[in-house]
Amino acid sequence: MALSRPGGRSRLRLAALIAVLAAVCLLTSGCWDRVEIQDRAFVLAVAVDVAEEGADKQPDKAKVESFVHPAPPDRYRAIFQVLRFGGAKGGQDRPGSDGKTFLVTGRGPTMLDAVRDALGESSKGLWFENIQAIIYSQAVVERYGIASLVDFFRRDGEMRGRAQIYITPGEAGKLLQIAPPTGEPGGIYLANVARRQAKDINLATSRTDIGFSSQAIDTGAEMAIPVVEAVGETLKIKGAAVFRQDKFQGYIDEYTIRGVRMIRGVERSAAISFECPDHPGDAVTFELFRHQTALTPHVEGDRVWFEISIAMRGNIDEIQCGHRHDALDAEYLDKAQKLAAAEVERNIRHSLAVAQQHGWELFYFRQTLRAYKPGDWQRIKDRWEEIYPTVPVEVKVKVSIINVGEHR
Amino acid sequence: MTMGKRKRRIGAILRLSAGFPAASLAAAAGSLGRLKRLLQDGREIAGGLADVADRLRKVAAPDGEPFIFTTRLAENERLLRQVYQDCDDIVFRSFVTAGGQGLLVYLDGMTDTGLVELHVLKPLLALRERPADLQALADRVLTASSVTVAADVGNCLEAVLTGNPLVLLDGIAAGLVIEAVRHVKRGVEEAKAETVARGPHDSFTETLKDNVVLIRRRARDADIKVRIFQVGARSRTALALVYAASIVKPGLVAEVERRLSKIRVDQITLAAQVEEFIVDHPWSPFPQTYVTERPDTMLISLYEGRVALIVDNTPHAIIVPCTLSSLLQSTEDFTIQPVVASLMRVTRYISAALGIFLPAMYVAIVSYNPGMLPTSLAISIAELRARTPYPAFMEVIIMEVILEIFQEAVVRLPQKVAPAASIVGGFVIGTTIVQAGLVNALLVVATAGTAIASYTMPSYNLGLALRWLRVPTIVAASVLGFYGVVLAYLAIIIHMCSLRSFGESFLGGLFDVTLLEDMQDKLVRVPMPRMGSRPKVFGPQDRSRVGD
Amino acid sequence: MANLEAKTRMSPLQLAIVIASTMVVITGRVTEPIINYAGHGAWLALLAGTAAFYGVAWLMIKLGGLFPDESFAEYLPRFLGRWLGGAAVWLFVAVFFLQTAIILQGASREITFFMFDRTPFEVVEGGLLLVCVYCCLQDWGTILRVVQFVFFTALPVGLFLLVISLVGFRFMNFLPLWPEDATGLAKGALHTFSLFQGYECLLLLLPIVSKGGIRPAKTVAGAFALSGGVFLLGIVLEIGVLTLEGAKNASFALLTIVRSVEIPGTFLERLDTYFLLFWVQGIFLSVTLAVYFMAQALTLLYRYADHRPFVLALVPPLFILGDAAHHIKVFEGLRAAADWAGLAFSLVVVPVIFALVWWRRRRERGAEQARGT
Repeated sequence: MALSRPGGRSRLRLAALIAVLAAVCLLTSGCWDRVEIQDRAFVLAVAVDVAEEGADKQPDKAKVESFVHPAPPDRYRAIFQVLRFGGAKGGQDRPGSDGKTFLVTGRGPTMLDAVRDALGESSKGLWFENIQAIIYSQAVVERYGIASLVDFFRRDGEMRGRAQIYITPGEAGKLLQIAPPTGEPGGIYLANVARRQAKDINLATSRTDIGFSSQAIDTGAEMAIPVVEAVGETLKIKGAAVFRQDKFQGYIDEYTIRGVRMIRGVERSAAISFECPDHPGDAVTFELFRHQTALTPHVEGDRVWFEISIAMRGNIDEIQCGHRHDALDAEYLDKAQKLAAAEVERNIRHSLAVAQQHGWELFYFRQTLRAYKPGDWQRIKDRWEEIYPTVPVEVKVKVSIINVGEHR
Repeated sequence: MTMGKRKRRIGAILRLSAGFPAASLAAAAGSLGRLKRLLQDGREIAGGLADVADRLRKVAAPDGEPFIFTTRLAENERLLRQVYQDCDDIVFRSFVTAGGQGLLVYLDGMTDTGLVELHVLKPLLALRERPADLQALADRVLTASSVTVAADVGNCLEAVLTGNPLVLLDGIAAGLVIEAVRHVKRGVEEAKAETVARGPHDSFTETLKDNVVLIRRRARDADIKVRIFQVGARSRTALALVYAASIVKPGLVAEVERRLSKIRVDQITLAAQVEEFIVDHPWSPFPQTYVTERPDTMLISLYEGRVALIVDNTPHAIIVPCTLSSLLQSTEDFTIQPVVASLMRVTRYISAALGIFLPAMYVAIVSYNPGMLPTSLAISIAELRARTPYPAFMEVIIMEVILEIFQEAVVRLPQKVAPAASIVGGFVIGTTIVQAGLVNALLVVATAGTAIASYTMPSYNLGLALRWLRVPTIVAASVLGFYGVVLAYLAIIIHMCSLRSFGESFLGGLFDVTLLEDMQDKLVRVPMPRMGSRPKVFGPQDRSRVGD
Repeated sequence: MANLEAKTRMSPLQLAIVIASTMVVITGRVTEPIINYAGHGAWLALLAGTAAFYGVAWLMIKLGGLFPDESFAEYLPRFLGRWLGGAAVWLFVAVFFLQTAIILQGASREITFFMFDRTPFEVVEGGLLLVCVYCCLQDWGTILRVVQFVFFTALPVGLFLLVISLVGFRFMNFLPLWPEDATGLAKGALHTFSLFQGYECLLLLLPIVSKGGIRPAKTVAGAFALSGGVFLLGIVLEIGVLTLEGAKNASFALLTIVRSVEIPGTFLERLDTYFLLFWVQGIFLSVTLAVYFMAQALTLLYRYADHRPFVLALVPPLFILGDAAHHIKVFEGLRAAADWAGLAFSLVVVPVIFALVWWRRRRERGAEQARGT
């Protein structure tokens, strides 16, 4: 009746109808993507193992993870470390949980399948925006290559390029069960360790996150990915695993890493110990504050060589050789500077030798050639594999000690 | 109704009517009809008679006036008493003067009776010889300062109601209106809402004349024009249109007048009524006129080339055109150091944005885009939220409702009880609602921040607009997350740019490159000596503030 | 009610802001062909493209100078005949239409990918279009003000976020500076068109630009410099941060870069959503202006008094086309079509019209002189 009446009344009703419809639309449409922050399971770290391993080692668990993809076959067993809200209040109800986090496990031919499989153990959807660290076991990277492992993390829109990647020689899942001594959730601990890389030249965690790894895979560059291991009750980051063209090659130790990082010039601080000028056998430590590092390629006809020139400035931070020292003595300082420079050069030479011996290209030599000598690079790029192991490198190091600390 | 019940009722009626014969029923109906007709006729005749009497009274009176004065005083008094029937506050005082009877009519309480006694009644009673006419009487006899001869009844009637006494003499078909208004009024007091630490403290009052005085006292400038209009068909409320003639944008005064002339309403008791009649978009939440209670602010606006309206009985002046940047200025800005004032201005813009978007941003972050937060913050928010049962949208709505209720309660309560309400609301409910887990502490902070941000608005009505706009933005956030907030933001920007208050875009002037010079007194304020030109946005005829 | 302002005209500076607003936004994958063809020389291709398309813009300004008080939709039908002139105007509309459909689709794709999960493209696209239509239904004075407001509030923040992203820039990735492949460079330069598309509105706006003051040619050059600078920053970032190969492989290169910015201990991390929020405003400007230009061109062509019916008529097909392009193949096809139509308009139609007009004017002048002497 009222609707048929002409005039403003029916228009009002129409407006009201539209408003109601709009409200209904709003309420329903809000359901597409509205997930409250507390209803998201914060994944802080992921550990990836080869699929069979977990099943073999935990026969009682195999029932839970029994679903096997007919084809393609299961590749990965992924363990997700999820934040538990409310701190440690929840108690130790799950094996391996440190109170702050708990673990869920999934298997599948791809990472996403593993995620979906793991959802069976979680009342909330796994949410990866805050993922901090990814640990791959040596076995899984050896078998499937790093590129396919990184793919999920660089393709999915939820992922962050700054998640750190680690390699572990043993089973990756076990590492997530270790509660870090700092009380931080495990993933955050791993990420914060990596953030220290600017200060600690022994860590191989510079430019080894998802974003940089993805780039390295795209450009075909070698990667040195840090290794994490369980040491007693805690985790330790030591050494690096070298990848070349997506394939696992082997490990390098901290000393080699230090040389690599000196050549790359990515450190902001470093402690470099050398023998005391007055007391050979005792150590003096030089702390780097600022450096100027340049890698210059030289091409003359068929001869290719590189020049590394490093100028370092810093302090003497510690002297281990007893009493009676005058660190401010000009002669002493001069000697110390030379010795420190010699130590840096030795370190660099060591790393170069290791890398060239294996044919690992850890120093951006190729990129530098391509960037600064594009013409020559075009000419020699097909023979680069042969040239690299024997390419001569000229190392020039200059160390300036500008301060000796609070005590002379 | 069941069949049985219905049958029983019909049966009862049949039994009741069985006592009367059918014929007598018909006769009764006939008589009733006749009675009705007679009553109808009687009413019509009475109406007709009243019409005739009216027409007789009004004979020869011009349009819009109830009657005309006759030369017989008794007849005039009878007609006047008829107009002022049941108006017991009208006093009729008869007196005898040279050459006959006289009548003084005035409104009790609105007229200065002392003045009337001294300067009207005394000379009239002492009069020996009657002057030739009323004008001569006014010129020679009455010592009151303002006396006018009025022949038209309408003016006389209105004069009496304004408080001016009317004198009628026997044998003369005209009256004398003496200016002698005196009524209760509030004195000039300190500004209530727009207080400043340094600077003048006086503010407008309810009396139009006093308000104009406050302006005139501040500028000895004949260029400031004050034109009095009357609006409201019955209330005949006085309204002053004030402007600086050689500065104001050409056409602006005419446009304001045109819009004022379009007001069709019986009464105007509040300035806000006038406001709603003259703005372009009465449905917009934003205030489109600048309202101030400070005479100095109004004067500054006049010299920017704007037009002010003062409505009698409202202690606020309406100033048009109005832009967002003018709403976000306060007199305080001009009494403190320019650099500080600039910072405060920028802060106001930011708090205006926060006042609208903070709750919506909370909803968007918590329900849609928590990935925007750094991990540690995301974790702590999630831990807080883990204890609350409602989705963020519901939570915010609960909090908004509570906030609005508090605000209403504090505004409505008498001033002595209001602090108690704030304590109950703020401390008791505010704390316990978090402990009860209905909302989380972060949201309380966000909501309180929103409220405080909207209180920083120099214009109360702008603060209200912000409060209103929160609701649609929260809905947008709960539908499309941060994307929804941005869409809502854009829609609000478009709406604000499309608002035109007398030709000026409400918001659009803020970043208009053709108005770059106005930046000296917009987002920031430069020192006074550098503020050499009037804002271009108001289109003044004379751009330069310095000299003529 | 009577409006007291006469905002039918705009200043040359405002013209520049409008032009820059139509151009300045980079939608996903637009830089991809430039990088693919020109490689490390992408920056050079971009500079060449900026110069070339500014050349076209300059021609348009000269053309407008020959018809001082008319837009091309008014003089073309008179000059070229009703059908040919109408066809040129329709080509103009088609260029904007295709490009806007692509922008809508690209934007809704990107927003859906990064800010949503299951929300349909249609809702994201429709929401944006709704706001654009609301803006288009206002008069030009209002649109102009909205454009300036958003331009001055959103662009600096977006730029700031891009500049912050330079922390990941490594010069070595960007080298070598000089490319060897000249044809690739040319192709890349040609493909910069989709970045600059939108400046064609000059043909429409020139008659309402107030004369005097700075010359439009100068301010428009400024607009090109600004947009070119922003695009250059984008390309420098893409290659310098992601490396050339990385940039080729990234679907949403710029966003990937902004995403990976992290300066620990500060609030400067996870900036991608913030960047998107300001970027959406840029998209809003592009789409709003494009819809308005289409509507206004048709209004002038068919001599209507009001542009609003055309806005309402144009929006449904725009929405449908934008939505249909969510298939990558359709999207690519649409993009090729838009590019070719736009290039044809800019590099063929405009110069030809200019040459014709110029030639005819000269002949007329010659005839006049002949008569005069």
